Amino acid sequence: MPRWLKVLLWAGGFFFLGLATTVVWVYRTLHLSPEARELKGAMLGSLSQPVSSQIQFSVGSVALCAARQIVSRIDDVPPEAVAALDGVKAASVGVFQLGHHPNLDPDVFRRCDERMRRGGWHRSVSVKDKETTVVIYTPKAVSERDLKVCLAVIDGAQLVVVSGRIDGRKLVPIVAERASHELALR
Amino acid sequence: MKALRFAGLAAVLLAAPLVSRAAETEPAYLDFANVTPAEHGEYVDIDLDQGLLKLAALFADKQEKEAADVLRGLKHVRVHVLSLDDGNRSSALERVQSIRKSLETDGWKRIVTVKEEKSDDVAIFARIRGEEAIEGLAITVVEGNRQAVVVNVAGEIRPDQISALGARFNIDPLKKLQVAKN
Repeated sequence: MPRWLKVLLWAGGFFFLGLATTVVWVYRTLHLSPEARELKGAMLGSLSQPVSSQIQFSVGSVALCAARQIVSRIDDVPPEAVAALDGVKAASVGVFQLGHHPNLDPDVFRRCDERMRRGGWHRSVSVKDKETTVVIYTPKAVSERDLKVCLAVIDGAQLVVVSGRIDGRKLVPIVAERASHELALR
Repeated sequence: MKALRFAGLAAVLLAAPLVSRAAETEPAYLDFANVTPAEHGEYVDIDLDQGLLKLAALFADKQEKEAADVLRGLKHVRVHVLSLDDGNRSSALERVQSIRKSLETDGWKRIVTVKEEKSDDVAIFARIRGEEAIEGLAITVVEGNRQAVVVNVAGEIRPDQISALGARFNIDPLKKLQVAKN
């Protein structure tokens, strides 16, 4: 095989690999993480009402690293925000508009448990009243340096789903500072 | 509103566990059977294991050392708040009575009983190890016909920490409880 053809084939291979990687990266960036998708599906269950996506994105370590580099070059960013960004390793956020506030049946949490349990998630918090439903899942076993959480909130006719990985040690000072500020206000 | 305050507290503790969930093997851990929530009422279920509680202790350490001390000794906290309606009232009340009966059968000591007509019905149980060490607390409250609350705390609890525990987790019956050392 002529040398130029080999070079062309390698270049073409790298090009299509890069293109495929970019397409996959863009797709994943514009969609929820698998656990957030499962939770959203479980929450909405078999509701037959329109659901429109307002915001939906996921960011991983590469995008967050780039964001940290950019933020480090901006002067007016609050130190809390910088520290929070430093503590987040991955995040997936979705905000959805529902047709109306869903009348969630009492079994909604059991349904969520069934779907989330497959991924090793355990329900830590669930709260439901007339207008608001909150459910928070955490894994059964992780380390403090890599804390995973997946939560969903239905407030009125809006559903927010968030999943993320954080470094708990880096967020402790922020939360402690915020908590002391709140206590001082009281 | 109370339900949202619980949610706020739980949101502050938001993190994944630091250790695997071994609380179920603890002697003071109560496993509540599923109680059907009222269709349109409040429902709160908070299940915090040792990892989450240790993280909460880290957060609380700077400002509330006493609360952080209490949290560090805990292995599990479970809170159930259930609004009652005609659809679930009788089954929920039966469930509360059955929990109280099984606690007494399992050797838990009833340390508080408050029963007022048309008002709160409170029973607090403690699982005591040896002479003074408390390794579990179970609080059952029926507020009129409106709400049932069941709280289980498992871990090393000193008697003088009980009211601090009530204050930290907003558990009214515990806030006022002062346990005598003898």
